[in-house]
Amino acid sequence: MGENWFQREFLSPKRLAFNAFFYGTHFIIFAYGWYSQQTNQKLAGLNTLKWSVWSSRGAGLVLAYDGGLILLPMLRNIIRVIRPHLTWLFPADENIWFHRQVAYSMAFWAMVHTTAHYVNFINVERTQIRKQLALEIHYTQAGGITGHFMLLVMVLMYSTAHQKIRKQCFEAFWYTHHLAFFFMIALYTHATGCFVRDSTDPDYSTVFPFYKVGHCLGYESWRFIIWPGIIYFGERIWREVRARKATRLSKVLVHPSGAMELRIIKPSFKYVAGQWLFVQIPELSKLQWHPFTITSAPEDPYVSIHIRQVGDWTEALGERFGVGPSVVKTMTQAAIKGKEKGLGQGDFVEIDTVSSAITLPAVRIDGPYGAPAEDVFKAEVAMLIGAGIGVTPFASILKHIWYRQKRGTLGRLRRVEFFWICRDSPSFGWFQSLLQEVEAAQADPNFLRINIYLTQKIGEDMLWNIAVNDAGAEYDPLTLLRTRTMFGRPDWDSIYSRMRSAVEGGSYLPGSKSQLKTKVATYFCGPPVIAKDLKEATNKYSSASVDFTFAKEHF
Amino acid sequence: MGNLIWHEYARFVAITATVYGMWAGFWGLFYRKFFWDFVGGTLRDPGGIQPPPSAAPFIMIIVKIPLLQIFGVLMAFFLLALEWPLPLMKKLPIYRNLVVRIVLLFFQAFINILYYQVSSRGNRQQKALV
Repeated sequence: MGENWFQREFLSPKRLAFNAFFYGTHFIIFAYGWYSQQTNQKLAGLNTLKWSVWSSRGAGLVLAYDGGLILLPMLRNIIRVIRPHLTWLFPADENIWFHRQVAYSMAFWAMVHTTAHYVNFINVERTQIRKQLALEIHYTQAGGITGHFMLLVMVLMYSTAHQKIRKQCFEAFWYTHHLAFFFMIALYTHATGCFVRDSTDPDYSTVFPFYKVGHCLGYESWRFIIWPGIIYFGERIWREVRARKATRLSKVLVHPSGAMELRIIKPSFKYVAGQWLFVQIPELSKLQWHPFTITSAPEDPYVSIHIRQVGDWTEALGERFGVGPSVVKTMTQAAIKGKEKGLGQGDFVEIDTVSSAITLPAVRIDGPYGAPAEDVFKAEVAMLIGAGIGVTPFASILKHIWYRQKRGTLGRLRRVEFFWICRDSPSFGWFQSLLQEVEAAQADPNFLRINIYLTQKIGEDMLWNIAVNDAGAEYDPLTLLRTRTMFGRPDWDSIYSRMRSAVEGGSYLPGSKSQLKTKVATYFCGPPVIAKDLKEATNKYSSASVDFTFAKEHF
Repeated sequence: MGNLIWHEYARFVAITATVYGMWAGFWGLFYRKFFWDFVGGTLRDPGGIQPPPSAAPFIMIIVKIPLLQIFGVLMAFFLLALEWPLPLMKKLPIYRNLVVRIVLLFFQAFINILYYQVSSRGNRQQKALV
């Protein structure tokens, strides 16, 4: 990747526009904060402190702006609603990225603000423009106390939010980040106490807030920035209320690959294909919410999620159902053996709650969140590309397409190309069985094409296995699909150029020539490296008659 | 979700505190003040607080000559080189020595609570010792 920092930040128009707007507004606000302090005759006393007070007030106003922005990308429910209408303006999927940019900016301006104030207070003490010690301002006044408290919270929150810490112990990050509640309260009250005033001492009175506000000349920014905080708090409460609505775990299926399928019934839960939810099992942890992609289609009478046992929580869940890691291992081995003998991979097992001692625990779900894939039906051709674990949202999307196919409500959609790039197939056995179902249900052999790419290096045994079983067999020996598995990485350049010439030649979509423009929508879920290649390919091969669009999902 | 590896977390806190120590030490060169001068000090208007005679040694190395600040910054540079780490530090045996770090961090915290700029954050460093 020959992309350097300059190219990334300045040479892509969207990013450049964002940078210009984001840092531009920060700078303008800083300049305004500085200017309005410096030129305010009423504050002549404070202005004897010169540049330090000007920059502290400018930076303070910028911090207020950041404090207002930082919660916006976290308003998950609101984002979910406005997202489809605003995809042209900003990528709402990048909300965490935006949250981080605001946080970085906040750290920088906090540094400016704090440094300037440390100079301010030492000068206040020296000149005695107010009869105070620096120490008193730091530790006895609202501004100093909340300021130091916020710095402490920032050290804790920023350091635990480091990618490395988040990976090794998500709880440390998650729980520490809830200090944000106290941080926001400190932020909103940071400017209380009327320290920006035109008199030496506050004009004390006996009623709340114990000084007359006529002399206070602060920016009162909290009146504006408190709203995202209130909305966020309201949203958290709403999520809690919603999560408590009647929910029942109806079935647990264990797939040979070890994935557990939870089928949950919650009538109040409405979603569309491609979205995800948070799940909580109070019996395992009353505080933890874990995100999972929804794997059922909205038409299904239940909401299903597939859980692989890869962490503390998921393994504990496995143990709870009596299918802990050890049981799964034997199941997987049996499945592999069965496959080698050509017996198929074996079926899933339903957890029996009638004759065994295993009961189903209570569950709570929160959601749905994320990108709906409804746009699929607005294009003639959909290219669905999933890489690795990123294939999960396509379970729901493919099922949904299948349901709509049955109902004959496919919209403009004429063909679906599904790409699945994975390193090793056995770990996604449950997905294979789903693909099998969808593939078997196809009446029109041209509607859905499944392309599977296996990127793992193949051992000699496996090579011979493929050579022996593949020739003339109806099903692919690895995936048991009719579609043959391809080995190595897909060459997007040639895939897209062939796609374009096939569409333009009219062989791909019979009758498409009567149309002016054919839309080929690409949906991708997976690592950013592939996303970049795909984006380049879609840009490169878009022409007057074929419009390639690209969208990627995060989770 | 796995366990928190405390020393890796401590590294981030130590780096934060050290960078702050550097920055504050730099400002301490221009605005020299003995943090504890209010103990027994007298307030003059103008002029600020006048430290008591008993604080004379500290005044000598903080206000008259900013010795502690300079030392604090140099030490912060060394600690940062040790923690970030500087590639050549990786080869040295002290890179793998936890005790050296604890002593250095304690020492840094001690220096830092003596002068005005860093006093508020000095205590953060105690946490880095875990």
